[in-house]
Amino acid sequence: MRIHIIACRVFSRELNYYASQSPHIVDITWLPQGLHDTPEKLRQMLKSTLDDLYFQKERQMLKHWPDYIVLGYGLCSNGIVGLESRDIPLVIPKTDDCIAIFLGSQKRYLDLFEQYNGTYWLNSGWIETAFIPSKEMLDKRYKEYVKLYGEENAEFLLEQDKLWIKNYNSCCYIGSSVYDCPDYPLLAEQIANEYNWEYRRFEGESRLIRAMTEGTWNDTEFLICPCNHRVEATYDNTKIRAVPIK
Amino acid sequence: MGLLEDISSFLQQGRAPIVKEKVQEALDQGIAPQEILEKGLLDGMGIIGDKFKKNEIFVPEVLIAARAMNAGVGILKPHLVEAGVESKGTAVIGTVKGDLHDIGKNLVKMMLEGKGLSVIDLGVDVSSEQFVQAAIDNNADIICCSALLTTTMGEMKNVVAAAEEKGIRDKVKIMVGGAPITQSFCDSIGADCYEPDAASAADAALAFCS
Repeated sequence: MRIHIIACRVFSRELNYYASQSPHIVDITWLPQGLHDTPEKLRQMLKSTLDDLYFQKERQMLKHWPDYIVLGYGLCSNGIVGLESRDIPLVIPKTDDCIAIFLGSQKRYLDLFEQYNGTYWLNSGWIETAFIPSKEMLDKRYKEYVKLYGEENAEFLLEQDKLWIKNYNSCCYIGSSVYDCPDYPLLAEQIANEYNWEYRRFEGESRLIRAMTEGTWNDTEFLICPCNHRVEATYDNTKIRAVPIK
Repeated sequence: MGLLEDISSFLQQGRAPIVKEKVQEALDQGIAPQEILEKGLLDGMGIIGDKFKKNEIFVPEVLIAARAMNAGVGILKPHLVEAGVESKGTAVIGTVKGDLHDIGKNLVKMMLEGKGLSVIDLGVDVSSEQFVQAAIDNNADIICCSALLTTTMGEMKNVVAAAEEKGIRDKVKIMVGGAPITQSFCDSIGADCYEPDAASAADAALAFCS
Protein backbone atom coordinates (compact mmCIF):
# COMPACT_ATOMS: atom_id res chain seq x y z
CA MET A 1 0.00 0.00 0.00
CA ARG A 2 1.07 3.57 -0.62
CA ILE A 3 0.28 6.33 1.84
CA HIS A 4 0.80 10.02 1.25
CA ILE A 5 0.87 12.06 4.45
CA ILE A 6 0.42 15.83 4.50
CA ALA A 7 1.63 16.90 7.91
CA CYS A 8 2.55 19.73 10.20
CA ARG A 9 6.31 19.94 10.65
CA VAL A 10 5.82 19.52 14.41
CA PHE A 11 5.58 15.76 13.66
CA SER A 12 8.78 15.60 11.63
CA ARG A 13 10.85 13.40 13.96
CA GLU A 14 8.08 10.92 14.77
CA LEU A 15 6.55 10.68 11.29
CA ASN A 16 9.90 10.45 9.53
CA TYR A 17 10.97 7.67 11.86
CA TYR A 18 7.80 5.60 11.68
CA ALA A 19 7.49 6.20 7.93
CA SER A 20 10.94 4.68 7.49
CA GLN A 21 9.89 1.62 9.52
CA SER A 22 6.48 1.18 7.88
CA PRO A 23 5.67 -1.97 5.86
CA HIS A 24 4.03 0.44 3.40
CA ILE A 25 5.50 3.05 1.09
CA VAL A 26 5.04 6.38 2.79
CA ASP A 27 5.56 9.79 1.27
CA ILE A 28 5.28 13.00 3.29
CA THR A 29 4.60 16.63 2.36
CA TRP A 30 5.44 19.04 5.18
CA LEU A 31 3.64 22.26 6.01
CA PRO A 32 4.98 24.88 8.43
CA GLN A 33 4.19 24.68 12.15
CA GLY A 34 1.80 27.26 13.58
CA LEU A 35 -0.97 27.30 10.95
CA HIS A 36 -3.54 26.42 13.66
CA ASP A 37 -3.37 30.10 14.63
CA THR A 38 -4.89 30.99 11.26
CA PRO A 39 -7.24 28.10 10.41
CA GLU A 40 -8.35 29.69 7.13
CA LYS A 41 -4.75 29.73 5.95
CA LEU A 42 -4.27 26.14 7.12
CA ARG A 43 -7.34 25.11 5.09
CA GLN A 44 -6.02 26.92 2.01
CA MET A 45 -2.55 25.37 2.31
CA LEU A 46 -3.96 21.88 2.77
CA LYS A 47 -6.24 22.41 -0.19
CA SER A 48 -3.44 23.64 -2.43
CA THR A 49 -1.25 20.71 -1.36
CA LEU A 50 -4.06 18.32 -2.32
CA ASP A 51 -4.53 20.21 -5.61
CA ASP A 52 -0.82 19.83 -6.32
CA LEU A 53 -0.90 16.11 -5.59
CA TYR A 54 -3.90 15.56 -7.90
CA PHE A 55 -2.25 17.71 -10.56
CA GLN A 56 0.79 15.38 -10.47
CA LYS A 57 -1.48 12.36 -10.61
CA GLU A 58 -3.61 13.64 -13.49
CA ARG A 59 -0.57 14.68 -15.51
CA GLN A 60 0.92 11.24 -14.84
CA MET A 61 3.94 12.79 -13.23
CA LEU A 62 3.61 10.17 -10.47
CA LYS A 63 4.57 6.66 -11.43
CA HIS A 64 2.43 5.38 -8.56
CA TRP A 65 -0.26 7.16 -6.72
CA PRO A 66 -1.29 6.77 -3.12
CA ASP A 67 -4.09 4.49 -1.92
CA TYR A 68 -4.75 6.87 0.96
CA ILE A 69 -3.95 10.48 1.76
CA VAL A 70 -3.48 10.95 5.50
CA LEU A 71 -3.47 14.31 7.28
CA GLY A 72 -0.90 14.75 10.03
CA TYR A 73 -3.26 17.15 11.77
CA GLY A 74 -5.95 17.09 14.41
CA LEU A 75 -8.86 19.51 14.17
CA CYS A 76 -6.29 22.29 14.65
CA SER A 77 -8.78 25.14 15.17
CA ASN A 78 -11.10 23.47 12.63
CA GLY A 79 -8.59 24.21 9.84
CA ILE A 80 -9.27 20.77 8.31
CA VAL A 81 -13.03 21.33 8.07
CA GLY A 82 -14.29 21.82 4.51
CA LEU A 83 -11.55 19.77 2.82
CA GLU A 84 -12.72 17.45 0.06
CA SER A 85 -11.51 14.03 -1.05
CA ARG A 86 -11.51 13.18 -4.76
CA ASP A 87 -10.68 9.68 -6.01
CA ILE A 88 -8.36 8.88 -3.07
CA PRO A 89 -9.81 8.52 0.45
CA LEU A 90 -8.67 11.00 3.08
CA VAL A 91 -7.78 9.82 6.59
CA ILE A 92 -7.81 12.31 9.49
CA PRO A 93 -7.19 11.72 13.20
CA LYS A 94 -10.25 12.72 15.26
CA THR A 95 -8.32 14.67 17.88
CA ASP A 96 -8.44 18.31 18.91
CA ASP A 97 -4.79 18.90 18.11
CA CYS A 98 -1.30 17.41 17.90
CA ILE A 99 -0.93 17.06 21.66
CA ALA A 100 -3.55 14.27 21.67
CA ILE A 101 -1.62 12.60 18.83
CA PHE A 102 1.69 12.83 20.71
CA LEU A 103 -0.02 11.48 23.85
CA GLY A 104 -1.46 8.57 21.89
CA SER A 105 -5.20 9.20 22.28
CA GLN A 106 -7.85 11.87 22.43
CA LYS A 107 -9.14 10.35 25.67
CA ARG A 108 -5.77 10.61 27.42
CA TYR A 109 -5.47 14.23 26.25
CA LEU A 110 -8.96 15.18 27.46
CA ASP A 111 -8.39 13.48 30.83
CA LEU A 112 -5.15 15.44 31.29
CA PHE A 113 -6.77 18.65 30.00
CA GLU A 114 -9.45 18.27 32.67
CA GLN A 115 -6.99 17.35 35.41
CA TYR A 116 -4.37 19.97 34.61
CA ASN A 117 -6.17 22.89 32.99
CA GLY A 118 -3.68 25.67 32.35
CA THR A 119 -0.97 23.43 30.98
CA TYR A 120 1.55 24.57 28.40
CA TRP A 121 2.61 21.50 26.42
CA LEU A 122 6.08 21.06 25.00
CA ASN A 123 7.94 18.28 23.24
CA SER A 124 10.83 18.01 20.83
CA GLY A 125 8.63 18.97 17.85
CA TRP A 126 7.36 22.13 19.51
CA ILE A 127 10.79 23.14 20.76
CA GLU A 128 12.29 22.66 17.31
CA THR A 129 9.58 24.36 15.24
CA ALA A 130 7.33 26.67 17.30
CA PHE A 131 7.55 30.02 19.02
CA ILE A 132 8.01 29.13 22.68
CA PRO A 133 8.28 31.58 25.60
CA SER A 134 11.97 30.95 26.29
CA LYS A 135 14.17 33.88 27.26
CA GLU A 136 16.06 33.55 24.00
CA MET A 137 12.94 33.76 21.81
CA LEU A 138 11.38 36.59 23.78
CA ASP A 139 14.61 38.60 23.52
CA LYS A 140 14.64 38.02 19.78
CA ARG A 141 11.03 39.18 19.48
CA TYR A 142 11.74 42.26 21.61
CA LYS A 143 14.53 43.26 19.23
CA GLU A 144 12.22 42.86 16.25
CA TYR A 145 9.62 45.06 17.96
CA VAL A 146 12.21 47.77 18.72
CA LYS A 147 13.24 47.80 15.08
CA LEU A 148 9.65 48.07 13.84
CA TYR A 149 7.83 50.11 16.49
CA GLY A 150 10.41 51.86 18.67
CA GLU A 151 11.57 51.05 22.18
CA GLU A 152 8.59 52.38 24.11
CA ASN A 153 6.04 50.42 22.08
CA ALA A 154 8.32 47.35 22.04
CA GLU A 155 8.11 47.01 25.81
CA PHE A 156 4.33 47.33 25.71
CA LEU A 157 4.02 44.79 22.90
CA LEU A 158 6.20 42.26 24.68
CA GLU A 159 4.06 42.69 27.80
CA GLN A 160 0.99 41.95 25.67
CA ASP A 161 2.69 38.85 24.25
CA LYS A 162 3.37 37.62 27.76
CA LEU A 163 -0.10 38.29 29.21
CA TRP A 164 -1.27 34.71 28.62
CA ILE A 165 1.59 33.39 30.73
CA LYS A 166 -0.13 34.41 33.96
CA ASN A 167 -3.18 32.32 33.00
CA TYR A 168 -1.14 29.12 32.83
CA ASN A 169 0.05 27.17 35.83
CA SER A 170 2.14 24.31 34.53
CA CYS A 171 4.40 23.10 31.78
CA CYS A 172 4.23 19.46 30.69
CA TYR A 173 6.98 17.93 28.63
CA ILE A 174 6.05 14.94 26.49
CA GLY A 175 8.96 12.54 26.17
CA SER A 176 9.51 10.66 22.92
CA SER A 177 10.91 7.21 22.32
CA VAL A 178 12.00 8.35 18.84
CA TYR A 179 14.23 11.22 19.84
CA ASP A 180 14.82 12.94 23.12
CA CYS A 181 17.59 15.50 23.24
CA PRO A 182 18.55 15.80 26.93
CA ASP A 183 18.49 19.60 26.65
CA TYR A 184 14.79 19.73 25.76
CA PRO A 185 13.20 18.63 29.05
CA LEU A 186 15.72 20.89 30.79
CA LEU A 187 14.53 23.82 28.67
CA ALA A 188 10.90 22.96 29.48
CA GLU A 189 11.76 22.87 33.17
CA GLN A 190 13.61 26.16 32.87
CA ILE A 191 10.55 27.80 31.28
CA ALA A 192 8.34 26.40 34.06
CA ASN A 193 10.69 27.84 36.70
CA GLU A 194 10.84 31.21 34.97
CA TYR A 195 7.05 31.64 35.23
CA ASN A 196 6.52 29.82 38.53
CA TRP A 197 4.69 27.03 36.77
CA GLU A 198 4.73 23.44 37.95
CA TYR A 199 6.79 21.15 35.78
CA ARG A 200 5.56 17.69 34.80
CA ARG A 201 6.69 15.07 32.36
CA PHE A 202 4.57 12.50 30.55
CA GLU A 203 5.80 9.90 28.12
CA GLY A 204 4.49 10.07 24.58
CA GLU A 205 2.69 7.14 22.99
CA SER A 206 3.21 6.38 19.32
CA ARG A 207 0.06 4.37 18.50
CA LEU A 208 -1.78 7.11 16.56
CA ILE A 209 1.34 8.12 14.66
CA ARG A 210 2.08 4.49 13.83
CA ALA A 211 -1.51 4.01 12.69
CA MET A 212 -0.93 6.86 10.23
CA THR A 213 2.24 5.34 8.75
CA GLU A 214 1.22 1.68 9.03
CA GLY A 215 -2.34 2.07 7.77
CA THR A 216 -3.78 0.59 10.97
CA TRP A 217 -6.31 3.38 11.51
CA ASN A 218 -9.77 2.57 12.87
CA ASP A 219 -12.97 4.50 12.24
CA THR A 220 -13.44 5.51 15.89
CA GLU A 221 -10.23 7.45 16.23
CA PHE A 222 -9.90 8.46 12.58
CA LEU A 223 -12.28 9.87 10.03
CA ILE A 224 -11.92 7.81 6.90
CA CYS A 225 -13.39 10.19 4.38
CA PRO A 226 -14.42 8.12 1.30
CA CYS A 227 -13.87 9.37 -2.25
CA ASN A 228 -15.79 12.48 -3.24
CA HIS A 229 -16.77 13.47 0.27
CA ARG A 230 -16.34 16.66 2.26
CA VAL A 231 -15.14 16.96 5.87
CA GLU A 232 -17.81 18.60 7.99
CA ALA A 233 -17.69 19.64 11.66
CA THR A 234 -20.27 17.98 13.93
CA TYR A 235 -19.63 20.26 16.93
CA ASP A 236 -20.05 17.29 19.28
CA ASN A 237 -17.71 14.60 20.63
CA THR A 238 -17.51 12.93 17.23
CA LYS A 239 -15.81 16.14 15.99
CA ILE A 240 -15.99 15.54 12.22
CA ARG A 241 -17.91 13.49 9.66
CA ALA A 242 -17.78 12.90 5.91
CA VAL A 243 -20.66 14.08 3.74
CA PRO A 244 -21.05 13.29 0.03
CA ILE A 245 -20.22 16.13 -2.37
CA LYS A 246 -23.35 16.90 -4.33
CA MET B 1 -9.21 70.78 11.93
CA GLY B 2 -5.51 70.09 11.39
CA LEU B 3 -5.07 69.19 15.02
CA LEU B 4 -7.77 66.51 14.96
CA GLU B 5 -6.23 65.04 11.83
CA ASP B 6 -2.88 64.99 13.62
CA ILE B 7 -4.44 63.12 16.53
CA SER B 8 -5.92 60.54 14.17
CA SER B 9 -2.64 60.20 12.30
CA PHE B 10 -0.40 59.87 15.40
CA LEU B 11 -2.87 57.37 16.84
CA GLN B 12 -2.55 55.27 13.68
CA GLN B 13 1.23 55.35 14.11
CA GLY B 14 0.85 54.13 17.69
CA ARG B 15 2.56 57.20 19.17
CA ALA B 16 0.84 57.35 22.56
CA PRO B 17 2.84 60.20 24.17
CA ILE B 18 2.20 62.58 21.23
CA VAL B 19 -1.49 61.64 21.04
CA LYS B 20 -1.78 62.57 24.72
CA GLU B 21 -0.09 65.93 24.14
CA LYS B 22 -2.23 66.71 21.09
CA VAL B 23 -5.49 65.83 22.87
CA GLN B 24 -4.54 68.24 25.66
CA GLU B 25 -3.66 70.88 23.07
CA ALA B 26 -7.08 70.44 21.41
CA LEU B 27 -8.83 70.82 24.77
CA ASP B 28 -6.79 73.94 25.49
CA GLN B 29 -7.90 75.35 22.15
CA GLY B 30 -11.51 74.88 23.24
CA ILE B 31 -12.42 72.05 20.85
CA ALA B 32 -15.38 70.09 22.25
CA PRO B 33 -14.34 66.80 23.92
CA GLN B 34 -16.86 64.84 21.86
CA GLU B 35 -15.41 66.26 18.65
CA ILE B 36 -11.88 65.31 19.73
CA LEU B 37 -13.15 61.80 20.49
CA GLU B 38 -15.12 61.34 17.26
CA LYS B 39 -12.97 63.15 14.71
CA GLY B 40 -9.58 62.45 16.29
CA LEU B 41 -9.41 59.25 18.28
CA LEU B 42 -12.33 57.17 16.93
CA ASP B 43 -11.51 58.30 13.39
CA GLY B 44 -7.95 57.00 13.74
CA MET B 45 -9.07 53.75 15.31
CA GLY B 46 -11.67 53.29 12.54
CA ILE B 47 -8.95 53.52 9.89
CA ILE B 48 -6.81 51.04 11.82
CA GLY B 49 -9.80 48.67 11.99
CA ASP B 50 -10.37 48.85 8.24
CA LYS B 51 -6.71 48.24 7.45
CA PHE B 52 -6.68 45.28 9.84
CA LYS B 53 -9.74 43.77 8.13
CA LYS B 54 -7.97 44.02 4.79
CA ASN B 55 -4.81 42.41 6.21
CA GLU B 56 -2.84 45.58 5.46
CA ILE B 57 -1.65 45.72 9.07
CA PHE B 58 -1.27 43.10 11.79
CA VAL B 59 -1.91 42.65 15.50
CA PRO B 60 1.08 44.69 16.84
CA GLU B 61 0.02 47.77 14.84
CA VAL B 62 -3.52 47.45 16.20
CA LEU B 63 -2.24 47.05 19.75
CA ILE B 64 -0.05 50.14 19.68
CA ALA B 65 -2.82 52.18 18.05
CA ALA B 66 -5.27 51.03 20.72
CA ARG B 67 -2.73 51.94 23.37
CA ALA B 68 -2.43 55.43 21.87
CA MET B 69 -6.20 55.70 21.85
CA ASN B 70 -6.42 54.74 25.51
CA ALA B 71 -3.79 57.37 26.30
CA GLY B 72 -5.92 60.01 24.56
CA VAL B 73 -9.16 58.81 26.15
CA GLY B 74 -7.48 59.01 29.57
CA ILE B 75 -7.01 62.77 29.09
CA LEU B 76 -10.45 63.20 27.58
CA LYS B 77 -12.55 61.14 29.98
CA PRO B 78 -13.17 63.71 32.76
CA HIS B 79 -14.17 66.25 30.11
CA LEU B 80 -16.51 63.78 28.39
CA VAL B 81 -18.18 62.97 31.70
CA GLU B 82 -18.51 66.68 32.46
CA ALA B 83 -20.06 67.26 29.02
CA GLY B 84 -22.51 64.41 29.67
CA VAL B 85 -21.34 62.28 26.73
CA GLU B 86 -22.68 58.74 27.13
CA SER B 87 -21.20 55.54 25.85
CA LYS B 88 -22.80 54.03 22.76
CA GLY B 89 -23.58 50.73 24.43
CA THR B 90 -22.27 48.14 26.85
CA ALA B 91 -20.68 44.78 26.16
CA VAL B 92 -19.50 42.11 28.58
CA ILE B 93 -16.60 40.08 27.27
CA GLY B 94 -14.56 37.07 28.32
CA THR B 95 -13.09 33.74 27.27
CA VAL B 96 -15.34 30.76 27.96
CA LYS B 97 -14.96 28.27 30.79
CA GLY B 98 -11.76 26.25 30.50
CA ASP B 99 -10.20 28.60 27.94
CA LEU B 100 -7.24 30.67 29.12
CA HIS B 101 -6.28 32.36 25.86
CA ASP B 102 -7.10 36.04 25.93
CA ILE B 103 -5.06 37.63 23.13
CA GLY B 104 -8.03 37.72 20.74
CA LYS B 105 -10.43 38.73 23.48
CA ASN B 106 -8.19 41.66 24.47
CA LEU B 107 -7.99 42.77 20.86
CA VAL B 108 -11.79 42.74 20.48
CA LYS B 109 -12.11 44.64 23.76
CA MET B 110 -9.81 47.39 22.44
CA MET B 111 -11.68 47.53 19.15
CA LEU B 112 -15.05 47.81 20.92
CA GLU B 113 -13.68 50.63 23.06
CA GLY B 114 -12.38 52.15 19.84
CA LYS B 115 -15.98 52.35 18.67
CA GLY B 116 -17.03 54.18 21.83
CA LEU B 117 -18.63 51.23 23.63
CA SER B 118 -18.21 50.47 27.35
CA VAL B 119 -16.66 47.10 27.89
CA ILE B 120 -16.88 44.99 31.05
CA ASP B 121 -13.94 42.60 30.84
CA LEU B 122 -14.62 39.39 32.77
CA GLY B 123 -11.18 37.98 31.94
CA VAL B 124 -10.55 34.31 31.21
CA ASP B 125 -12.25 31.03 32.18
CA VAL B 126 -15.67 32.68 32.54
CA SER B 127 -18.66 30.43 33.30
CA SER B 128 -21.96 30.85 31.48
CA GLU B 129 -23.56 32.00 34.75
CA GLN B 130 -20.90 34.69 35.17
CA PHE B 131 -21.46 35.98 31.62
CA VAL B 132 -25.20 36.24 32.14
CA GLN B 133 -25.01 37.71 35.65
CA ALA B 134 -22.57 40.40 34.45
CA ALA B 135 -24.90 41.21 31.55
CA ILE B 136 -27.80 41.63 33.98
CA ASP B 137 -25.76 43.67 36.49
CA ASN B 138 -24.46 46.04 33.82
CA ASN B 139 -27.59 46.16 31.71
CA ALA B 140 -25.43 45.06 28.78
CA ASP B 141 -26.49 45.10 25.14
CA ILE B 142 -24.05 42.38 24.11
CA ILE B 143 -22.29 39.31 25.50
CA CYS B 144 -19.04 38.56 23.65
CA CYS B 145 -17.65 35.03 24.10
CA SER B 146 -14.19 34.05 22.93
CA ALA B 147 -12.64 30.56 22.59
CA LEU B 148 -9.34 29.55 21.06
CA LEU B 149 -9.71 25.81 21.49
CA THR B 150 -11.94 23.21 19.88
CA THR B 151 -11.99 21.59 23.34
CA THR B 152 -13.72 24.62 24.90
CA MET B 153 -15.82 26.20 22.14
CA GLY B 154 -18.82 24.01 23.05
CA GLU B 155 -19.17 26.13 26.24
CA MET B 156 -20.66 28.91 24.12
CA LYS B 157 -23.84 26.87 23.79
CA ASN B 158 -24.18 27.00 27.59
CA VAL B 159 -23.97 30.81 27.52
CA VAL B 160 -26.90 30.98 25.08
CA ALA B 161 -28.85 28.53 27.28
CA ALA B 162 -28.06 30.50 30.47
CA ALA B 163 -29.24 33.76 28.87
CA GLU B 164 -32.51 32.03 27.95
CA GLU B 165 -32.89 30.56 31.42
CA LYS B 166 -32.42 33.95 33.11
CA GLY B 167 -34.93 35.56 30.76
CA ILE B 168 -32.53 38.04 29.10
CA ARG B 169 -32.13 36.34 25.73
CA ASP B 170 -34.34 38.90 23.93
CA LYS B 171 -32.50 41.83 25.54
CA VAL B 172 -28.94 40.81 24.78
CA LYS B 173 -27.11 39.90 21.58
CA ILE B 174 -24.61 37.05 21.88
CA MET B 175 -21.49 37.36 19.75
CA VAL B 176 -18.99 34.50 19.38
CA GLY B 177 -15.45 34.50 18.07
CA GLY B 178 -12.01 32.89 18.17
CA ALA B 179 -9.85 30.87 15.78
CA PRO B 180 -11.97 27.67 15.63
CA ILE B 181 -15.36 29.43 15.48
CA THR B 182 -17.31 29.51 12.22
CA GLN B 183 -20.63 30.93 11.04
CA SER B 184 -22.13 27.44 10.92
CA PHE B 185 -21.11 26.87 14.55
CA CYS B 186 -22.65 30.21 15.53
CA ASP B 187 -25.89 29.20 13.79
CA SER B 188 -25.86 25.73 15.33
CA ILE B 189 -25.80 27.07 18.91
CA GLY B 190 -28.28 29.88 18.28
CA ALA B 191 -25.87 32.77 18.91
CA ASP B 192 -26.54 36.08 17.13
CA CYS B 193 -23.28 36.92 15.43
CA TYR B 194 -19.90 35.58 14.39
CA GLU B 195 -17.23 37.77 12.85
CA PRO B 196 -13.87 36.53 11.61
CA ASP B 197 -11.77 39.42 12.98
CA ALA B 198 -11.75 41.95 15.81
CA ALA B 199 -12.46 44.98 13.64
CA SER B 200 -15.53 43.41 12.01
CA ALA B 201 -16.71 42.33 15.47
CA ALA B 202 -16.55 45.96 16.64
CA ASP B 203 -18.56 47.12 13.59
CA ALA B 204 -21.21 44.47 14.26
CA ALA B 205 -21.32 45.33 17.98
CA LEU B 206 -21.84 49.00 17.23
CA ALA B 207 -24.65 48.14 14.81
CA PHE B 208 -26.36 46.11 17.56
CA CYS B 209 -26.24 49.14 19.87
CA SER B 210 -27.56 51.76 17.51
